[in-house]
Amino acid sequence: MKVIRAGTLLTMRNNKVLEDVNIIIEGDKIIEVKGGPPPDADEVIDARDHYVMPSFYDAHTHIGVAEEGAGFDYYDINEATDPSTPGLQGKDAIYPGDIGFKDAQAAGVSVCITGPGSSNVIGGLQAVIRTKGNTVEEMIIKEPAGLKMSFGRNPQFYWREQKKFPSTRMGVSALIREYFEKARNYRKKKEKDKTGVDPNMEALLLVLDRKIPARIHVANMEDISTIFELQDEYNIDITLEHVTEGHLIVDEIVKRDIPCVVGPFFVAGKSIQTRFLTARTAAILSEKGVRVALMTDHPAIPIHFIRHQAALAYKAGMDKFKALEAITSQAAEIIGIGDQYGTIEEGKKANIVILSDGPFKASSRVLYHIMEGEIVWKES
Amino acid sequence: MKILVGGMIFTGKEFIEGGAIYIENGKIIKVLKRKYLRNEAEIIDCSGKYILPGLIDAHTHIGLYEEGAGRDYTDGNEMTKPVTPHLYAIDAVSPHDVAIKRARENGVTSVFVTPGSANPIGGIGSVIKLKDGLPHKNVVKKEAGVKFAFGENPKFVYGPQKKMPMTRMAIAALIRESLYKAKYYGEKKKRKRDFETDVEMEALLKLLRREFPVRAHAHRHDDIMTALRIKEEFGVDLVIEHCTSGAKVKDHLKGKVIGCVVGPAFGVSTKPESRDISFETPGILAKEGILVAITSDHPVTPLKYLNIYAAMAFKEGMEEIEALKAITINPAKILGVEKRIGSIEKGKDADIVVFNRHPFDLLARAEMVFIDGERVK
Amino acid sequence: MERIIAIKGGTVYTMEGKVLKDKVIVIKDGKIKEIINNIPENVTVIDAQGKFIYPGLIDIHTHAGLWEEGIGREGYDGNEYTDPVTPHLRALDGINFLDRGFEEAKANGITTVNIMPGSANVIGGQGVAVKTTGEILLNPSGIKMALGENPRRVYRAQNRMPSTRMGSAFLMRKALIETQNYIKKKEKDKYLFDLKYEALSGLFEGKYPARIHAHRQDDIVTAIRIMGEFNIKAVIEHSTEGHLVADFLSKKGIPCALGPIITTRVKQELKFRTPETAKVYEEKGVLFAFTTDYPVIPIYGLQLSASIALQYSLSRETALKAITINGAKILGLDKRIGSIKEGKDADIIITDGDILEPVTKILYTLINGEIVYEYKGPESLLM
Repeated sequence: MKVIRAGTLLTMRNNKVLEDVNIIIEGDKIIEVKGGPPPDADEVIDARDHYVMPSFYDAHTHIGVAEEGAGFDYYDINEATDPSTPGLQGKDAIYPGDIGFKDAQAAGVSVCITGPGSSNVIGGLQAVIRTKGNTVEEMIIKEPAGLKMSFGRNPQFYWREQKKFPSTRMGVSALIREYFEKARNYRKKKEKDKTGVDPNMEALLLVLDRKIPARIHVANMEDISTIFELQDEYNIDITLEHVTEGHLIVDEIVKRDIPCVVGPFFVAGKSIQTRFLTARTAAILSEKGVRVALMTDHPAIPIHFIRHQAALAYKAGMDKFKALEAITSQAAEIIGIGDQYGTIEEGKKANIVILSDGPFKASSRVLYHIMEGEIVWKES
Repeated sequence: MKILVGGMIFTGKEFIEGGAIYIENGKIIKVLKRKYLRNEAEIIDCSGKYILPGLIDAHTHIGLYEEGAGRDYTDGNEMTKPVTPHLYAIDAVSPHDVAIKRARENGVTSVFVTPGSANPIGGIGSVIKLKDGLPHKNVVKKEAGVKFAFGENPKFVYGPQKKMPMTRMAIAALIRESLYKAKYYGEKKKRKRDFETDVEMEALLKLLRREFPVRAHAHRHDDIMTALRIKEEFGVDLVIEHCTSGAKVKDHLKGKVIGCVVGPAFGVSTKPESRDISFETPGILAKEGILVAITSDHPVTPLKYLNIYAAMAFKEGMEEIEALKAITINPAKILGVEKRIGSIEKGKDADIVVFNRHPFDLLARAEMVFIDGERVK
Repeated sequence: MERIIAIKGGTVYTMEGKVLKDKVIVIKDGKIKEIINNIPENVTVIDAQGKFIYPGLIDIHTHAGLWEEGIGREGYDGNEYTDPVTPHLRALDGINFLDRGFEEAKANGITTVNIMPGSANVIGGQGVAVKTTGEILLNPSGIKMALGENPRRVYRAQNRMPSTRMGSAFLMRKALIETQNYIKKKEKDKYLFDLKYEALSGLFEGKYPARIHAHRQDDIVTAIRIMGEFNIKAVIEHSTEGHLVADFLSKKGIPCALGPIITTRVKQELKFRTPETAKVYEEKGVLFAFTTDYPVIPIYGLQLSASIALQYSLSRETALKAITINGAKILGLDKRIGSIKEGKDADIIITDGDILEPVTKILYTLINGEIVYEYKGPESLLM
């Protein structure tokens, strides 16, 4: 049993800030949160002068798949030999030795969702992983956690350069319709013929049968509009990733109650695609009641700056607690593990970070990072 | 309720001087030939002005080639394979295109947005209103035609890639092949035997069932004739786009096509197939009783000057009323949306433009523009 | 400008050693006239009570206006990769001063930027230091050079030198030797003129420094070695592995433009990038300024970089200097900008909190005593 004596505690269950509370951990779970004197325990962590909160969840990364510091040859992120590769599984390309994972541990990021990139229109399956482990099996929390799809500049420009279909936006949505129809046909055939299992089609069926969401990389209004059409045509669950122009059409997103993973707010120069990029997107969507999580899109922004994404969102007008939820409880929920992760309360996994100061403070450092009850990082 | 009072109204069919147009809940609820005022309404004085139905352009690529966005932001042509019947132009319309606002502020309220002419079969076009917001929400008719293209453009996109089509023969062959495949697909669907949905075939099947017409880009007379032959062979409905040499084959067009969308004529001919560019063509065809719409083919020529192109046709011999119809009720008929837009009549959408001078006057400005009864300028 | 403005109250970080409270900064004709206790008569007053005042921030390594915001390839003008040695190119000729990047700079408190060509070329061209209103401070401000992965990747693909680090170093030396030849030849032939060698001559005359892009420790040392051979003043750009050769940098007195420290480590030469470098420089006495390499990261990454370095034990004092006066010194413009002192340009920012806190907002940005940005609510944020 471990006990954390927390001076200031943000449970992220609600907007309350608790003071002088004990968090009691047994195994990988939190078994109690209460005030008063701390119970006897094998290990007591004194955080009475510090801030304690759930550790961080990054709702959109390519960590492990796009290995850092090794050069472009080590980028396994895009199987760009065919624009539609739904059957690929991101988990098969995760390198547990990626230095990004060490950074994540040191920065208090416990969990990420990772997988294929955005060169392909339909990229493949994603996995939710803990940032520590020697093998992928040790790291997986949930998979498949979603099907990666991409609209706009990334797939379009890539295939245009290759002089292959789809080289236009019209082509991108047509390709998706082609594949969804093929999957529907496959489903019918499967009932009679058991010898024709197709892993690409199986992946698409997961989405058509609403077992996993399509997590869709999108920036522009015209593409978001097309996605709404597809959502209606095929009745699928979706999330919108980046959703750069989302603040220009909030009402429709609210109406459809689509979760949005917004960011990263640190893009290198704005293209025509991202000319409306602003950290205000998170604030505006959140104000209207949209469920918002933030991202680093590691390695686009290194994973340990997830906390700063929240600070920037807050600076841009997002409610302080919503900004923190966007990297903890709301993020955990949007990636599909909210039942066991994301807050500090009884029964949840003991994913906790102890900071020297408030989460948005410049000089605040991670003193402890506890992942499922185990101390994975401690400041020396 | 709003009432537009006075001025010269062109309803799309006739002229009314000194009348009144009643607008409520986005629709035109009454058109009077004399003034009659109801007290609780908002009265808009239009004396001395010219009132027209919101102008309609039946052939544009607005939002696909966003103005000022540059060489990488072009979405009108899927130049990677020649037959793409299932592409929707509307999925690529950028609502940020300034051309939308500029056209709207010059009285153009609805357009047909279509893929370009790189592909012998390019994709599906939609009728949309030029309002702000999500393009899919401004749709009047999502599937209003499938774009076919004959002549030089497809040849010069695929020929250099050493792909079919390199010749006019191959363009026609590819189209025929696709339509026969669709026919066969239709048969299988009816019989439900080994049937699997194919999104490409669905679009062509709807063409064969005449749910919407073929919109055939054809400049030269021989390409127009090829389009007519294909129409005869498959029984599809046909509209000829551009129809630059239409005057040469007007007798063949009469009675065979739904109409012709003529233009753009403002510019020099850059290709042999468009040598006959002329503003005389609309008038010549109209005299034969062919339904003629005048187009900008935006962005080839700017959509916002649509009234000027009609003026040029008038100048070159088209009757005034025909030229006015060519940018209002005629395109609405060609697009199959005349029940909703294209004229100022009871029951139709309140899409109206008020010019300060005759719309064919070079100095004319659109002072007020209404879409669905809401004032957008 | 006749107008006199007084900024009243607040906590003033002069960057001249003192932190002042409850003073009045009087600005006249675009310059800081005096810092006194009472507000003079008949002046426009900006009330900064309870707020914080700093010199306008300075970023000494950007490509503002050279890689334009919000358009595509039509706006990329920073890298002329048709020839690896182009000292005669001037950044000034490629900058769009109406680019949104300048608005973003003003809105985020950055009042002076140094703009240089990119790092595709071994010798890229001449940089220019400007205020973010467009006023030119120093042209040229230096000759941009580059070692490391970039030039060799670009030219290897074209089957040209340099395709190795040896090739880059060779081309650098060769250009400088040829410049020495040119200078000698000119003594005899007064009509001789070559735009490329004229530009490099300025290095020998000490008019401006060589600004050399180098990430890896070996590239840093190579750059300093070559410039040392010719007695040319050098500044190292990025200096990502600078903490591994800090003693060397300190001994040679080489200043560094450090950053951007918040990017992805996509290239092998970035593998050891860490915000700790700043702390090591502080300890070893290396003069450095933070930089964003805008638009590689957004311009407000300048103060965010300083903010992040605090987590890695950099002192607040050095962090502040590294986004103000240090940059001015490295550019040789510290007589005009970089601190709040009588006689200097009135480039001043007023904030609602400690500039090193990521949530702090800029309330006012003044350049030459004129308000060029004012916070009017969340919509006026450009971030």
